[in-house]
Amino acid sequence: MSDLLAHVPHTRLVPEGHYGPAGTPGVSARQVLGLAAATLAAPRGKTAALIASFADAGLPLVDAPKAMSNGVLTAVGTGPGRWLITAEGMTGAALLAHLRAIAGPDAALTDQSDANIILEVSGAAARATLAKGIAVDLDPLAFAHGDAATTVVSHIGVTFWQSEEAPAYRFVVARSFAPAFLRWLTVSAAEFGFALTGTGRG
Amino acid sequence: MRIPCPYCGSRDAHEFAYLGDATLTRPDPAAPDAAEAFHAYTYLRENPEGAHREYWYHANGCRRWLVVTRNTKTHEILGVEFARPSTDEVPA
Repeated sequence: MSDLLAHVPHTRLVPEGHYGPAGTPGVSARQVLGLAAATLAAPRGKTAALIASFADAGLPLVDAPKAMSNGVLTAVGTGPGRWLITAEGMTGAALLAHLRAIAGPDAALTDQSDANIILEVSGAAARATLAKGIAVDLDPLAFAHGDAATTVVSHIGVTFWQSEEAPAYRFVVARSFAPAFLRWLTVSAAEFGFALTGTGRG
Repeated sequence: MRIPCPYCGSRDAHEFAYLGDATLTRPDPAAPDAAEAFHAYTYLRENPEGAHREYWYHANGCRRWLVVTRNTKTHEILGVEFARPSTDEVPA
């Protein structure tokens, strides 16, 4: 572990590159840039009304740890009556205005666009890699495309969901914890060959 | 030990913070024996063998307080519910 990342400061994201055995990587990860993000929480007792408003607007929310997408917005259940919503090609302010118009004045909406980094992890060995640090069953029978979880990885809080059947997973990690999370991911994936992109050259 | 969170599903106990006895009720501070009652409420705990109702906070998950009924001898989880029942009725 220390050898592989000895040259990487603990305070910086692991630089993009290929880690571990050469050849076709078993695991790939990329930082997904340009997403806006916000948290949405229903006022007490009004979860059903909030879900109905979003259904009318074309985003079917489910009050469960699931990821739901309508092509533009992706909503991930993080707790009863609470969701994390990400959007492509939109600023945080625009996302907040869009959600406010649907949710009404009482829902709690907070811009999280700068709070987290989002990583997409994929590849044939993705499950074997994630199993090293995630105490949630990721077998396809237990955790499928569209399932989500908020948990800890290596003592770092994460929200993640399976974003593609292949499988691919999207991880939301608090920005200041992202260097530590990436170190865990890099050393866990390196034995399979690990290709990391989107994190800069360090 | 794993705790079946009503929202998140089965999770390792290290995601949770333990508060303790969920059977206590805060005493009436206006009662004549309030000092005695608060002493017992704050400090005195039974150490029951078998089923016990206790608070667990799912800090690294859905961030909800749970009441877990746990067998103190075997750690078998006999029941889990939200500490504050939701007033939301969400259609399935």
